[in-house]
Amino acid sequence: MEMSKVKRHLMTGVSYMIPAVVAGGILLSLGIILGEEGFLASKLIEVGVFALKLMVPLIAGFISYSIADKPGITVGLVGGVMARELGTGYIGGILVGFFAGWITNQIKKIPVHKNLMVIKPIMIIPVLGVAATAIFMYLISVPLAPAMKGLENWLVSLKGSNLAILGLIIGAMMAFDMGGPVNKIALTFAYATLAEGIYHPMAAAWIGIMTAPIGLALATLIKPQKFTKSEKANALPAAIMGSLGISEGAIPYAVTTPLKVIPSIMIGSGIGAAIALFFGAEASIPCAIGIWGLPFLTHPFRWLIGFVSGIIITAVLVVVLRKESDIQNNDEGTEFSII
Amino acid sequence: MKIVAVTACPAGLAHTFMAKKALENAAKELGYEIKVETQGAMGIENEITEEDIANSDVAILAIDSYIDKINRFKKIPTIEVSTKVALKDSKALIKKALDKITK
Repeated sequence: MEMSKVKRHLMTGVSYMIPAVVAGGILLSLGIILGEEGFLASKLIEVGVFALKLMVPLIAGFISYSIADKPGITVGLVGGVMARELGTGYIGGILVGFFAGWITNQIKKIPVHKNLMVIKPIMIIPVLGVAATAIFMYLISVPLAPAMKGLENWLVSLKGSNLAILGLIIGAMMAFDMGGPVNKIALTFAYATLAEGIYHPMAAAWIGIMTAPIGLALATLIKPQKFTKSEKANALPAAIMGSLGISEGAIPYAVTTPLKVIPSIMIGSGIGAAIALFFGAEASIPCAIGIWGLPFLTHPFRWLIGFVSGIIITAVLVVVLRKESDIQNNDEGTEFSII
Repeated sequence: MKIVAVTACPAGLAHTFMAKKALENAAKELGYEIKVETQGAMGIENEITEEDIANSDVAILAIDSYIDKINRFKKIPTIEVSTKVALKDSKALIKKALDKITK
């Protein structure tokens, strides 16, 4: 399977999973904000957890759907429930989703007598597919469940400066390629820990996704003479897109002077995320909804301190590193006319 | 020439609709007719029918995730790319799709 196909299957799974995580994350956070006790708060938390428990089954089910179409859904969903119950979490869910889709496609190819054709989609594929997926899941859970438990214990044990280092790495990775593969690896890690009920990495991912475009937009206001016309015109759309959780608005700036922009946004996002995590910021909601999720964070101000620091650091670094001469031969810049 | 297109991205909020806009603008500038279906967070909108496909020369799929009813497009030449390609240079993408027909 080529890399671009793998990415597409994974993104399909994420696409079907996001609404459940947003619903669960926001209801859960509301319950926590309301004090965790009392009828309403405890019910909100309960329902939030129900929705979040769908996360691993949904990603497995819809990775499998992306590979094998409709017959893949059941096989993947059951594999995903097993991945969750056996303690292999989100990573197990992704692996089992790929296996479920692959095995479904293999079973589809088995030739059957035409009288049996009618029961193939309703019996043969689901039964054989689920059985084969169950065997796969039991096998991989043997090494994976203890590994996930170890990762979880390690993350829970992180405090203060160690958390800050975790934030630094996630923030810098998120910013490095602005929505590309490295960014997706960091984001997958944040989702994986979210599924285990650990919310620091997602808070760092939030900063990693939004700091670069907003920081660069701010930089164009501080020293407009160091930016091309189209870069200045891009500032507002990039900042708006950034606030909605889309990093790609930062790309045109990186295209003009990559060696000055990419280190700046990596340092800005990394330090911003490190500061937020040092103060104990947590996000139980995926960063896909951008700044609109802010009121539902458990400690919005701890997160905001990191976010604002990251934006300022990014903007200052870019302004310092860039020279006016950098743009002289390049006043056209890269066209980014999307809105 | 008539083009049908589908756009889709994982979150289904931004790239899906930005790619639609980009394709529509590029087709207009080049003087082609285009119908763009979106498969965003709300599901299928502006659905491309069998009739639309029968009347079109080429299909452009600008998608980052799997889309529903992908088999519809088996009947005509189809070019499949990510939404980013459509966003960066829709005109080049449409020209590339054109090459596919003439070959």
